[in-house]
Amino acid sequence: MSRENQIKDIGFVLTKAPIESSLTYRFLSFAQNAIDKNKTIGLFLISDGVWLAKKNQNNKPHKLLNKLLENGAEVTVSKDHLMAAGIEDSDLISGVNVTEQPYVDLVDQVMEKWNKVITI
Amino acid sequence: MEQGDYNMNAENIKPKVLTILLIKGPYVSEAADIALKTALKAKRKGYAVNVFLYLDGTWVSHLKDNKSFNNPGDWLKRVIRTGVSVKMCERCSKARDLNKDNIVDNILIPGSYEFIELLKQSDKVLTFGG
Repeated sequence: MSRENQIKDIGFVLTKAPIESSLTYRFLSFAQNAIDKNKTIGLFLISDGVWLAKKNQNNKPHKLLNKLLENGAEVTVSKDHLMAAGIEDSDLISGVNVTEQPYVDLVDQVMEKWNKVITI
Repeated sequence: MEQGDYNMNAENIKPKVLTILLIKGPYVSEAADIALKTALKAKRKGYAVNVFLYLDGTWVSHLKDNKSFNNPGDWLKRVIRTGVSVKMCERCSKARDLNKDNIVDNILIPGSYEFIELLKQSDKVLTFGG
């Protein structure tokens, strides 16, 4: 089974920008805590959440995203919202997956590929 | 695999249930749009879908008229036409003077205890607007 098709223990759906709210950092910290407890995680960035994946940012949530990726998190980013924000694929950090069908993929991950799901 | 097959629980051949809780109103953020588009896509993929409007999320039900710009009310009507069960919190509705005469048709207004029942029935719950 490819890595992309493995069931994840917990999925995280992020709709907020990196420094829009302190919740973003806490949310990502929770994801890292899950990894520290040997859980596998998925992260879906949609709406303003896509800003997190833009490279060369100097903020704590973005740095934590890099750490999550290094630790095996599977990160999906909505193409619709990247386009709305004027963010090109070349502006993204490496290792994230861009989906051109965000709602199809969100439903699929929530219902079939994640055992539990958390949203903000 | 036939379309929809993988959306069933193998043990009882019932579709998996997704419940979406919306707690933020329209136009203040994209939460209502995302919630309703996700509900629509999930229903079309064969899942049983509930939408529960709570707190300011109840305001979406008030968008009855056509608009020349993006209208979450249209998405809500589309969701209802597709067969998604849409309910809204009674206390939240009364607090905002929302009733069956000034909201989109075919929305039930039970007490918030109903949401607990939806939680018990659901395979997954998504909250938008938190």
